[in-house]
Amino acid sequence: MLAVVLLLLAVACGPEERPGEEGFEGVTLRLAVEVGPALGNPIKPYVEQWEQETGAQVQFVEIPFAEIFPKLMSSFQARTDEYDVVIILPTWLGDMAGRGFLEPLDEQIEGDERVDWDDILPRCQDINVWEGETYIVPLDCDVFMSYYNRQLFEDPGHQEAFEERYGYPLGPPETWDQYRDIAEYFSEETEAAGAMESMARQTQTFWTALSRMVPYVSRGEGWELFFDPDDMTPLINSPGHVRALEDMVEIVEYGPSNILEFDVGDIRAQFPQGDAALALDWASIGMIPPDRTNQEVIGFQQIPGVDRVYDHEAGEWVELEEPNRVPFMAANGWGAAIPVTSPNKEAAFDLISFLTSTEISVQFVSMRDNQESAVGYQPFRRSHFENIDAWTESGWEREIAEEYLDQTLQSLEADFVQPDLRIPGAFEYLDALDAGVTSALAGQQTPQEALDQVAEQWDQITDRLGREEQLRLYRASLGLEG
Amino acid sequence: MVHASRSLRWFVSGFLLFWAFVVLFPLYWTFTISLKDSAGIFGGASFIPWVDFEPTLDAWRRVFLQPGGTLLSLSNSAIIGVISAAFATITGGLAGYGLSRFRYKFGPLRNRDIAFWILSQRMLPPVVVVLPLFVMFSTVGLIDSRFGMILLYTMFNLPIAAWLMYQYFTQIPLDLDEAARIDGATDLQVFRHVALPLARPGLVATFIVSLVFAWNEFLFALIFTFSQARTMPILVAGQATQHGPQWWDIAVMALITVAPLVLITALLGRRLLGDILAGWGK
Amino acid sequence: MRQSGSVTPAGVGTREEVSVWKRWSSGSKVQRRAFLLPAVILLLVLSIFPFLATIALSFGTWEMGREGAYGFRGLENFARLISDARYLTSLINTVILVGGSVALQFVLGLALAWMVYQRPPGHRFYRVLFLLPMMLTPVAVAYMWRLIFESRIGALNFFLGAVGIEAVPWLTQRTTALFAVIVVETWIWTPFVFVFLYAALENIERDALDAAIVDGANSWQVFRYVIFPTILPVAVAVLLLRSVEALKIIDTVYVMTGGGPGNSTESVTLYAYRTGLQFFDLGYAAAIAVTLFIGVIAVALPIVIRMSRRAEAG
Repeated sequence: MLAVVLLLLAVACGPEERPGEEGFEGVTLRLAVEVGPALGNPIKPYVEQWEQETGAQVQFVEIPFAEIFPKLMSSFQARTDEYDVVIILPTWLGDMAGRGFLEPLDEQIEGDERVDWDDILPRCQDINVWEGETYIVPLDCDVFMSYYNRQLFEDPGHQEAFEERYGYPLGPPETWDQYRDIAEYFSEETEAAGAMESMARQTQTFWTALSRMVPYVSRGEGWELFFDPDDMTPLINSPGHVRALEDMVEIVEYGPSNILEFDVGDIRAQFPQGDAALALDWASIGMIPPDRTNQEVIGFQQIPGVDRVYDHEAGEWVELEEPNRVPFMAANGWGAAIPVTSPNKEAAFDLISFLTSTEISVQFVSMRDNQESAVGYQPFRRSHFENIDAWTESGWEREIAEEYLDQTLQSLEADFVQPDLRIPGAFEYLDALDAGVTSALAGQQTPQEALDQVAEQWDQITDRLGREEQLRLYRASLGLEG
Repeated sequence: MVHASRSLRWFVSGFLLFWAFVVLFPLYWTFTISLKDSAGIFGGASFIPWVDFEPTLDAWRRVFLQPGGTLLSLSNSAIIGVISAAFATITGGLAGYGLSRFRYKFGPLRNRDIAFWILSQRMLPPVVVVLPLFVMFSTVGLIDSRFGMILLYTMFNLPIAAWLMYQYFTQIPLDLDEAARIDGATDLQVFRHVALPLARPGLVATFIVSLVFAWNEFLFALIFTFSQARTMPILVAGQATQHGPQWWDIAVMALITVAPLVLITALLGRRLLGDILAGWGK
Repeated sequence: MRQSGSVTPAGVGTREEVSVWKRWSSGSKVQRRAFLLPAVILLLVLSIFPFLATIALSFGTWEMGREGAYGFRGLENFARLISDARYLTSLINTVILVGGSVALQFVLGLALAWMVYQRPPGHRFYRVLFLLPMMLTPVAVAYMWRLIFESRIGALNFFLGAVGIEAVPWLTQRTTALFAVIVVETWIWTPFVFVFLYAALENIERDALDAAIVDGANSWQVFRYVIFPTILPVAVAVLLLRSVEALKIIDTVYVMTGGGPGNSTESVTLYAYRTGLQFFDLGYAAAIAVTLFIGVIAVALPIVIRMSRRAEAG
């Protein structure tokens, strides 16, 4: 009887998978990636190429965005061997790497020519490191951008009328106050909406709000956006944060009538058609297929700044000579990791290093003919920014590619860039923020009330997860000494 | 028909027609969306293919060609649904037969107590049991497996199946059982050769009801499936992406999910109605 | 309880039957128990045990995947509920959704049953067609309705616009979003009310109605004295059953609003799911679930009492 069971088990488990000299024949990798065309589609042709070269097979497991973190976490906690490669956000490292669910990859990365780690922009490296070890190999590096409608901005009639009304020339907004004025002007004077931003619950709304909050509070240290690094007191309801949310609430009036339903998908469908004067999004708008884009419309730039910043330590506003413009690495950027449960770690890393390699990755970060969608991967290697030819081969006009890359690089290489939250519970903290922000946008609470409530919830989450430990990890994630 | 004035009759006909429209419109509208691309959807409402918009089969092609996705979920839903409905019908049938034929006494519990206990399990909100079940299933490796889902759905449908079969068996006269027993048949033989054939319509109805519930179930599938055992409702619910919903694809998936149910209703709706008219409405 | 319990055939009453029983009863007790066994085992393992574990969990904390992770916390989780605004909102939403949708389902279901009962032209087609929504997958149905309610691409605002009403952002304001979910729930479950009330009506002897009319009763009297008493028990049962089921609402809300804006349209089940399986705060999630269970019991109690009375009488 026992023998039969053992035999069955042996059959069920199959022959041990060992890569042959040629590659990984017989190996099947399970790759978890977000559902929809933005992330899965662009890498599919290259994954197929890898399959042919190595003889392995790859099975795509597509998961809806809001469920990726919960699904992966529950499978990790249940110790089920579900995935060999997971495409995740560094925001989740605190929970995933912090609890030992991911394989540290430093050894494999070191000396792997295809990964070519030094070619990756330093900012895009750092976010993938947790407590000194690297768990994610980037396929993307995220930064929030601001867009303006070139056609409207270059119209002499509007330029004149705008200057007359507001007392300064019309141009890409340098401050959030200007952004507001421009949105107001165009929503009143033209058919176009003033601005488009993600405002729907459980989409990208909290990232939009955070990118607006960053310049109001950031003094270039990194902790100002989330918690006091001495005792984990939430800073999210500071006057700076509240002011930023008030700005955002004001935009509801100047946006399209259904702006509260907007997520970046709507923005990408509508902004390139010239339906709005301004928009906020990742660098993705630039990547929308040309046949659905009016190239004359899209102008890129860093997100606006503010004239005065709120100083948490002094507890007061500080006036500035130059606008404080701090880019925000919303979501930090997608990358590939390997769960410790994977029985095929060697093949998994081979696939990852193939995808992230300069040669392959430049093709999908510059892809422009993605079905019905912008590509979800943005350039993250120095070579991506230098190799303009690769971009023109993908169908970009040289000038536009240059401007796009220039503006993106400027954001990523700014003196200071605010990284996203990465400590354990980040998903829950940010979900609470998302609830607060959407509730303020819908007018159910004032921004102050909403953010006070978020701060209260953040305290509860911190207490539940252990304040001391959270504080230690928060400091570590910022590179502050214990 | 009880005194109905002419105008009342018109009102009744009109209202029924209106309700038929309300029932059918969402299906039709979804169908038109499935034939549109993003320009067709965002470019204002349009209702009739070829007349006010140019239909495309892109979304249908995309959804079916996606490796792993739709076809896997469709087969998961079918396999899990059919097998769990069969299990529920069998276990429910046995219990229903037992309760209708024998007098049980477990301590203070008698037949009706047992029957209520079984039925009451259907009222228990699933969310009350999922957390420990998740821990249990992960310990024994049943997370994200078809077998695990079959077990869950058998449990989920068992109370209703047992109750329905109990009702059917009670309607079958005892005399037939007795006659068979006098001829020396055992209980199990009586069940198989006398009761089951007579209860066939009940078995079919119970199976269909269980199948529909299993096909439509959401919460268990949301929690207990990740990829290998993912069922259609979860595939459909999971179409919200970080980059905005792909309405055209969602429309196709929603239609695929409900198509078998529309078919079942068209083929068996009258029969199901007949069953309800015959007994359940009392 | 006696060690072995006892098993006797139902319907045993007369002397002859008892003697028949004696002839083939020996040794079949176990066999008879076996009829119940699979069902009982399945329910004990997959329903009763987890249920008890949830109760235990609601009085403590638990971390999945860590050893010895249960910690007893007394009533802490329940105390937290009282001051948790998000929980209270989810509770109120659930009550609104249940009340609103069940009431609408009942009114529409009754009206439709009554109309189809009149056997107007096409009633054979209608009675099958009207079953359809209840058979369809709620998640898919919720998406179909989202395609109608979405303010820019949806059909509803287009129709409203055609008669000069300004576009309404249905799904992004709490009130209208709850209304939209109620509409969808009503669309799905009106058939349930319809079919059972229709069956109850069909069970009235048409002769009795005719007799009443011949006796000079007017429509109202016929309804009041013949129809109403007949369908009342079915109506009550249907109402309670629908309420119990509706209390568990999650899928339509999940798809239509995701609980937003804020958490203002979240249902209790959705909140419990998020707390337990997205934030992994298992003890608190269990406490939320237990309160839902108490709500269900409160609603279900009348059904159970009524049914057990009926069984006792029968």
